[in-house]
Amino acid sequence: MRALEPRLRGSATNPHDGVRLSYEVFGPAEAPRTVVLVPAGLFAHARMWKLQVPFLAMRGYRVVTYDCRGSGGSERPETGYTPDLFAADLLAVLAEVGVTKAAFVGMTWALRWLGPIAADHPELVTHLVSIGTFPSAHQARPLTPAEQAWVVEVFMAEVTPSTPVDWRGVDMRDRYPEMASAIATEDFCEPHSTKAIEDLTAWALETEPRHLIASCLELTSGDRGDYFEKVRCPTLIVHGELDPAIPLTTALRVHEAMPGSELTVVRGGGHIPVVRDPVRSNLMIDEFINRGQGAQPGRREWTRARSRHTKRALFVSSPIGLGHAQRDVAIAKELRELVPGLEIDWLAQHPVTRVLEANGERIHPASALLAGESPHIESLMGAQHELNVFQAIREMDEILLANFHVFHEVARDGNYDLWVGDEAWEVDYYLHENPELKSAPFAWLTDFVGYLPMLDGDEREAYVVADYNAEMIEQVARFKRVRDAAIYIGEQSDIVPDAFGPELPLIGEWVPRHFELGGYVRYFDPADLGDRAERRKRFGFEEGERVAVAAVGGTSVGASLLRRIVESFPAAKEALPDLRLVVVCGPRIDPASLPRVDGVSYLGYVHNLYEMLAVADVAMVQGGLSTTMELVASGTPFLYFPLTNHFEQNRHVAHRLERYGVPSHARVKFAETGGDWLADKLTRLLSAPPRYLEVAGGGARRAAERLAALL
Amino acid sequence: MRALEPRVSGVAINGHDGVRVHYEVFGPEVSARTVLLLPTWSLVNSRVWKMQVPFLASICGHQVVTFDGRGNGKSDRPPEGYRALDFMQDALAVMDAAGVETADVVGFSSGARWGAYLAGLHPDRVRSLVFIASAVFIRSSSKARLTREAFLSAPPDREGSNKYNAVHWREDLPDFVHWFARQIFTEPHSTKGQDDIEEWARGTTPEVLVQTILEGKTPELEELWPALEQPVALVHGDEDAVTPLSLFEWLAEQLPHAELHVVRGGGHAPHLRDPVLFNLYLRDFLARVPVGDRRGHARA
Repeated sequence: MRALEPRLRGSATNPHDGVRLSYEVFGPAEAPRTVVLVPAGLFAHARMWKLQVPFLAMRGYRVVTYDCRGSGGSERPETGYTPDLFAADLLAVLAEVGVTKAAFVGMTWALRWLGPIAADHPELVTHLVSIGTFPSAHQARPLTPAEQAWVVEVFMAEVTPSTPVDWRGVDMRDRYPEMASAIATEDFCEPHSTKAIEDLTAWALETEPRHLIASCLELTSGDRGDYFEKVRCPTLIVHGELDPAIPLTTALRVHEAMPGSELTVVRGGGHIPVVRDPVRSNLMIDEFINRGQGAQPGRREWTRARSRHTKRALFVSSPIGLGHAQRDVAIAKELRELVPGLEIDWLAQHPVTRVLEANGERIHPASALLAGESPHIESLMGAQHELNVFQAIREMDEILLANFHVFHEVARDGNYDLWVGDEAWEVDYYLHENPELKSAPFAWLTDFVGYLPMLDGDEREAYVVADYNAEMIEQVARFKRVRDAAIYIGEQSDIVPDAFGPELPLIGEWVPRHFELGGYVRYFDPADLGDRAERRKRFGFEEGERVAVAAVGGTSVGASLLRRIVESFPAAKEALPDLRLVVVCGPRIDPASLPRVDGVSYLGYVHNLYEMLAVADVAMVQGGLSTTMELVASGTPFLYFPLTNHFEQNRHVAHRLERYGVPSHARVKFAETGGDWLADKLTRLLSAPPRYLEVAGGGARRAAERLAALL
Repeated sequence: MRALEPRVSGVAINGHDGVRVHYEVFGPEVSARTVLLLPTWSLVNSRVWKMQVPFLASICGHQVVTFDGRGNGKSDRPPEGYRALDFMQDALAVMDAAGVETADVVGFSSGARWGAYLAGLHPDRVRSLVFIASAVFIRSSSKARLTREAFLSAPPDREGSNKYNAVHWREDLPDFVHWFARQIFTEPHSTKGQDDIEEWARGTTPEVLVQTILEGKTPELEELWPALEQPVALVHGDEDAVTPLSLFEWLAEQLPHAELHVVRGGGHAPHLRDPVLFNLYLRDFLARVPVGDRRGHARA
């Protein structure tokens, strides 16, 4: 899912040749300023700016993106790819949207039409940012006809099939998919760029090769090359030091040819820093286009250090699953005892906010700016109780990035004495990528370490998983200073026996060297729950009846599971006549969407569900760690249904549960829920209830002590 | 020793009354931006900007101009001529002598009034304004005002704010300065700042200071504030014991387009007591001020 949907979408028509351009507009309607993001030509369309759009909109700009003719949703003429027509396209979009003044950010080929626009329409262009700039034949001056002819000749030269693919007309014509992939791979020479490469390849393949060829030819032959000195607005040229597509010397030439321009070199950077280093790129663009924009009316405060009497902590708790919220609340309570007067702000979204509000915690108002993670995850659910959560997280890159920027805004001016991230991937990842942004102690909490491949025989998946793990290992090794404390919510034997990947360390050896093993964090003591019979009465469980409770946590991900259970229940009830089923739908599944069945009753969100699960005779839950551990802690027999292809539920959680004595038959594959499965499973469980290892307490306190030491 | 020596040291002569004013120029010869740091009350001299000058000149690459206000430092100490208009004309004389067409102007305390005068009467010379701990006079204020008579006659005692008195200054100026330095710096552990004030105050005389008070009112300024066209930033400590926050609130109402920054826990001189905070903010503000139609920007 996108991190931010456009406020407006539409099309504009080029008055010269009637070509229709597709555009989108984001950000506040009353924005005082506009940024226009111009794609690189036909190789990538407006989506290449996905990591910029949410940030710029959050910063209060109106953001306009559009697809160049020949790409994305814009019309694709067979010819007409001259700089003049590209310029007229952009002007048509601006006229349609009503933009009379804006900052412009463009990539690669874009300067060939942005340059003339900036030169000819100085009142329109307040700032110009050109990234990975590619002027004609790498020259920042008009080409002679002979030079132009030479460029075309080289570009269109035939090659033998054994010649490796490259950016040339014949490869576009004959070997486009291979070429697109090779160019994308080359463009992102930075390590661990699998996602960026995949994205760029996919975007490139949406363009027709013949249009791409036409654009290369016409953008060269039609290029005036005479605008460099005429551009009067503030200009920033950005170029990756290692850009394999366009050498750095080209950027130097452009910089020299544009008097008064600034040049920023990204050391270690490839062709597209806005995608591979989005945080730094975003902050740089924002700072640059803010120059010369005058005072920002309004009142702000800063507090001198000596006057910051109250200690403050910022908690960021992952919204994927409710478990983090519960344990973080428990830790926060202990922390307040250890650090009297501590103020805690939470940056969190639904469904975590539900738990926080119920516990009287303060949710930072900027939380409203967070892009939705749960909806994204839910949107990627397969129909048969399936979720490849690793892929889902990979696809969540723009959401994570947008949310990092919200965190950064809050943390930067918030004078916090401690940042705590509980599986807050965006915070941990982008702090390691931008360590200079870390300005408070940072504590990292997680109950699993290491992505694991789930698709048997899928070499690509295995490679990407290992790549992600390798990146994390390298980040932690290079920037130890980012994590002041790293707490693994578990013990050594909870760690899976796998390695991070081929030729990568064993997870069980690496974790104790980089984490403290804090043990599980219980958020209730089963001994405190009180008299069982009384509690059963409180939940309406009669004496002599056996109650099965089915619950699927905080998202809508478990809807198909609940449906399967409900549908299978009548057969189970025949085998176990005294059994009835209570289905807890959680905050995101509508009970009305499930079938009415005799012996089945429905509830929505149940606060502190563990209290009910503790007195159930048997429970049926998904494969999330916190709910299954609640059941282990309270001794309730249960079946658990990990989402198919969900590495964390199937591997990390399953391993831990086994350690605690949960029998292997309690783990149910959704694909095996046919026939009398429910009756069989429940009968087996109820006739021989398993005995679990005790879930030790003190985890919250230990974690809090570790955090208090940072305060 | 100073962190940065001036590139140019000179004397500008006020064309109206011939008073000579000593000024200094720091930073690069060629830069897109000149920052003019105005003098404040003649109690102190241009060293009051010591924490800003090296940062603005060496790190930000701006040309920086400071001058000693008449009555202190190396500038003349005329027996009279301490109106806001006089200080403003001194500033113009300095700008002309230093070859500065347009400047970003920073004023501290009384300097805020002079900066507003300059910007209001000579808008083409002022690109932006930053006012720190603005000492504004509110004509309509109901607060008990120290009358001219009370100021010039012996005070009931020599305690606290009664030290703010012409007779006391003539009899024991160091005592007043010692007390006043502690009104400027109310933040804990501010001995250096307080010592500096006392040292700089040795560069003036009781008669000069008395004259600055007698001539210092600027009632017509109340009409000028709302008419200011330049980008403006107001910075004020919420524990300012010299110019209370209420003056800032009033001024903010006169300047609805201003950026407002409150320094929580800050006293009268946040640019001296919290220089990092202030300098980084000033750099950021200046970067956002357009340089006009010149292309490009000096490095921020």
